[in-house]
Parts: sequence; structure tokens; C-alpha cells
Amino acid sequence: MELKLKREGKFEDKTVTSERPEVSLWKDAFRRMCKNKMAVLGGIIIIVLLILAIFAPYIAPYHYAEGNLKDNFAQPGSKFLLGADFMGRDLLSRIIYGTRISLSVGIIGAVTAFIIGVFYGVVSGYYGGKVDNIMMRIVDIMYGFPTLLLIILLMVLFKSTFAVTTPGTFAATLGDIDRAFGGLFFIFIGIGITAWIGIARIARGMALSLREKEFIEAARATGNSNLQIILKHVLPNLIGPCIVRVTLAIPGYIIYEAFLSFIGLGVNPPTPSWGMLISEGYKAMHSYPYLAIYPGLALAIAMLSFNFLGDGLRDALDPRMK
Amino acid sequence: MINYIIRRILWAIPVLLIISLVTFGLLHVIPGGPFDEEKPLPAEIIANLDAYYGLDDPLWKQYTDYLWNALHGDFGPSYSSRSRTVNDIISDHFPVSAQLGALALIIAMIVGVPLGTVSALKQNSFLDYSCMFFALLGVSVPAMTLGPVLIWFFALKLRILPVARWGTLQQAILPAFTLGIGRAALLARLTRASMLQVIREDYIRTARSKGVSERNVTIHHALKNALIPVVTVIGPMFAALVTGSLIVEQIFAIPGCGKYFVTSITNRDYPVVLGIMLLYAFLIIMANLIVDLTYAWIDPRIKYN
Repeated sequence: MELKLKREGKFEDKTVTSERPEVSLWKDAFRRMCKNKMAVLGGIIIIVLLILAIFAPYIAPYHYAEGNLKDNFAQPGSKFLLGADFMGRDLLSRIIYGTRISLSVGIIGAVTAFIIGVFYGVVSGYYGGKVDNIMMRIVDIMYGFPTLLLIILLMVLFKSTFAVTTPGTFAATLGDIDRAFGGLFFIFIGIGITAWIGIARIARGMALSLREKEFIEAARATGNSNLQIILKHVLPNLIGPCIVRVTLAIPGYIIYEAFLSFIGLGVNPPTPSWGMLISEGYKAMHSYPYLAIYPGLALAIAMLSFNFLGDGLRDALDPRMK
Repeated sequence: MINYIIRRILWAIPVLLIISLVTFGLLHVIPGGPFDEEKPLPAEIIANLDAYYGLDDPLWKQYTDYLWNALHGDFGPSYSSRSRTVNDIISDHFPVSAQLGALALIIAMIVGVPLGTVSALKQNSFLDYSCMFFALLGVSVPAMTLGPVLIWFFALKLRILPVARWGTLQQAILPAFTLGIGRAALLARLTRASMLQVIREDYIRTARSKGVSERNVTIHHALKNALIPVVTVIGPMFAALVTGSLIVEQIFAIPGCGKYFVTSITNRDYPVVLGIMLLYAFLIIMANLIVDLTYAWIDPRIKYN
């Protein structure tokens, strides 16, 4: 339903009326973003990656774990489009399956960071006072932690504690979930624990400034409860910058997972993660450099497209750049 | 102002305490002790080692002992390199990480700032667009992609630079470049944005109308002010580079603190892990503090109370 705004004005003694359709924030942002070629390119690449990830079994020529040792280190050719790794597995198929890992880490990391961060930040910023003080102290402390070191510590903890197989215990169930995910479950938890902090700060800053605005006071005066105000007024104004920040943080999550797999603390083999592919290819760099470079290119393309998209989103939502 | 500085420094102490507590707790929750990994030792010897290192004390006592020693500057022995203390290890490996970080920062500044300035001066030209495109590439291409590509191209194909390790200047070029180029791109974007803002200020117009040469306007008036946000970012950038050099250290086999951290966790070398963690946290906290202070010092309009 499109609302038409009627404007009446006087121009040389004639009354002029004009009508223009009312545009919502998101429709306007979408329109502006479509004009940004880089952002559109990023979006298209992400959609392609999503398709690759979801339909991997149908698109990839081989299964990621199937390989014949006598094919090892095969050159790129008609049988293996990008060559084969040290166990005779097709590199292209493994890269395609690797899309699943990176995209799921990126998206789930983003969603967790968004939900926890926005919730935490809004509560802290809106209620202010002591609550805000304590909550921000906690954030300050977590900010001082070297993130990469903390994630590595957590991953070692999770992997060794939950590797037990005595059935029925809580630890064993978690370990089973992890194995079902191919080793990803704990990476989700590890990244989730550290990712929400940046978003929380932004959400809290915005909630603090929004709290003082007159329309919030008006809403309170007309009898809205705090919860209603938060849901109807505070949150919709916050969501834009938070989404931008989260989109721009996704490449960071992808890189964390890739690095964890690179040093062996990530997914369990034979599940292919780009980081693990790079690490395997790295060992054979002197003779088969493409084994490390192609997965690296895939990694770079994924990160690039999220950066383009995030940049485009930020410019599209920025009211100053209209 | 002095009050603010003192308060910020004092605040660092509980943060470090909590970080040490959390790290200590996490380490002891991880199953396995420091002496399990090597050739299986008889139980009596393990018991002896535990007693020698105080590992059979109750956990709270281990923690308070560690804190007490740490306050006196003794960060404990290393469980895996038996003849070295943590202080020795850190003084051996940290300078390497610091040098790598410093070199990367220098590369980032030399490449990034001029690129950003030129982009801003010639806004919307082809030069501007191509510089910003390369900046976006630099920010997005991770060290794990760039490292192997650079190694393949310069070390294996052209054979003009060594592949890995650390020590000579040639060995330092590739890793510093890999680490620094991402930050160079960030600095370029930041410099450009800041410069664009400064050029539109009234005092630049005044300087030009007074007849100051364009070159002087750019360097003495515009650049000086445009660099303020850049300078404030350099402190945390250095801390981020040093603590984030983990990835580059793995790729190029550089004996820095980061690489040592990973092996120490696997070996359950508790004091080393704690030592490195606290060192990095301290760096981050100090860098943030120095940035806030520099900002307040440079811009007299900012007052902290």
C-alpha cells in the first residue's frame, strides 16, 4: 500500500499540488544500493556462493572425501579441473564443499553476534544508570582480551574436553553434535562468545542517544511501557547501523574459522574448510603451488563480496549521502 | 586530566586480573597436564614433577602463588623448555613479533597515507577510484591468501626473496608486507576521508586566499589536521598488528610469540600461555589508553574529567 503525500504550495499565485509516494527506509536503501555497482556485484557473488553451498552435492564433480591414492597430486586437467590433493581428492569439489563451512560460520556468527549484541546493548543503553555501568564494565573487560588467543584457548578446551565417547554423558552428546556438524559446532560457540561485543557497544551508544530524543518522551507520555517503546521506536532506529556493522564483521568470522582450520583447531578432516585446504596445499607449495592458491582465492573472493556488500549497505543507509 | 589518566591506569589492573583468572581457569579445565604428552613417564616421576612445580597444590593456591610471583616480575618456569623461564622465552620471542609488527606498520604508513592523500586531492578522478579499489582489495584479501601467493611468486618463481624464517632483511620483507598491506589499505581510506573533510574547512580557504602556495596549503595546513585521526589510530594498530601476527607467523614460520602460544597450549605449558596472554592484553589496554590521551593532547577541545 503506497501512501501518497500531498503537498500544496504557492508558485506565482498559482496553487500547486504534487503527490509523491511515501518511501520506507528499507525500500529507499535498497534502491540506493542497487545503484552501487560494487555492492550489487558483492551481492551477486554471495548469492552464487550460497547456491554453491546449498547445492554442493549436485554441483561438485566428486564427493569431497572420495579419492584414489594413485591419483594423488594429479595436474589440473579434464579429470580434475583444478587438480587433486595429496590423497587424490578433487580440489574443485573440496573448494565447493568448503563454501558450506565458510558461509555457515559467517552467517551464524553474524546472527549470534547481532541477536546477543543488540539485546545486550539496548538493555544497557536504554535503562542506563547502574545497569549500564555494570554491563559496560563487563564489555570493557572482554574488550581487553586478545580475541584470537581467547578463541584458540576455547577451541583447545572444547576439542579436548568433548572428545570423550562414553555414551550418555552431557560431554558425549555435545561431542556427537560436534561430529555431526563436521567439527563446526564448537567453532560457532567460540566465535559467538567473542563476536557480540562490537555490536553491543554500537547498540548501546545508539540506545543512549535515542533515549533522550523527544519522540521517546512523547511515547512515554502517551502511556507506552518501556518494552513497547523499545520494540516500536528504539529497535527500528538501531537496526540499520547494526546490520551494517555485522555484515562488515562477517569476513572477520570467516578468517577466524579459516585460521583455526589452518592450525588444526578447526573442522575435523576430511570435512574441507578453505583454511584446511590452504594448510594442506601449503605443505606441497614447492611443487604444486596451485593447491594452496586456489582455496586462498576462494577465501579472498568471499571476503571481498561481503566487504563490498557491507560498504554498499552503509552508504545506502547513511542519510548524509542522499 | 591527571585524575582521568590515573583512573584509566588503575582500571587496567582489575581487567588484567580478570583476564589472568579466566585464562588460568580455562587452562585448568582443559584435560591433560603438562607432562602427559611425551614418552609415558612412570607415575612416581610425574608426581615428583607435579610437586616440584607446585601442581599438586589446590587451584586457588596455585593461582595466588602465580599472582604473587607475577607481581614481583617472576612469571614462572616453562614446563616444556625446562631450562628456561617464561621471562626468558618472552624476551626471546617477543622482540621478533614486535619487529614484524613495527615493519608492517611502517609499510602501512608509507604506502597508505600518501595514497589516501593523493586520492583525496584528486577526488573522483580515475586515480581516486583505482586507489580506493586497491584499498578495498587490500582490506579484503586475507594474509592466508596473500602469503602463499607472495611466496609462490617472489620466492619460488622469481627466486629473489627467501621463502620463510626470520633474521635477515630479505626474510622480513614478505611477511611484513603481507601483514602490513591490509592496514595500509585501512590507512589510505581513513586518510582520504579525513583529508576530504579538512579540505572543505574555512581555514584552508583563508590560507589559499592569502596566497599560500597550493603545496604549502596541502602540507602545512591540510595534512597536519587531516592526520589527527590517523595518528590516533596508529597506537591500537600497532597493538593489533603485534597480537594479530599469529597468522603470518604460522605461514612464514617466524619464531614469534604467536606461534609459541599455539604450541604452548598444546603442550599445556600453563605459565607460558598465561604470560603471553597477559602481555598481549597489557599491550592492547596500553595502546587504547595512549590513543585516548594523544587525542586529548592534540585536540584542545576535548576535555576528560
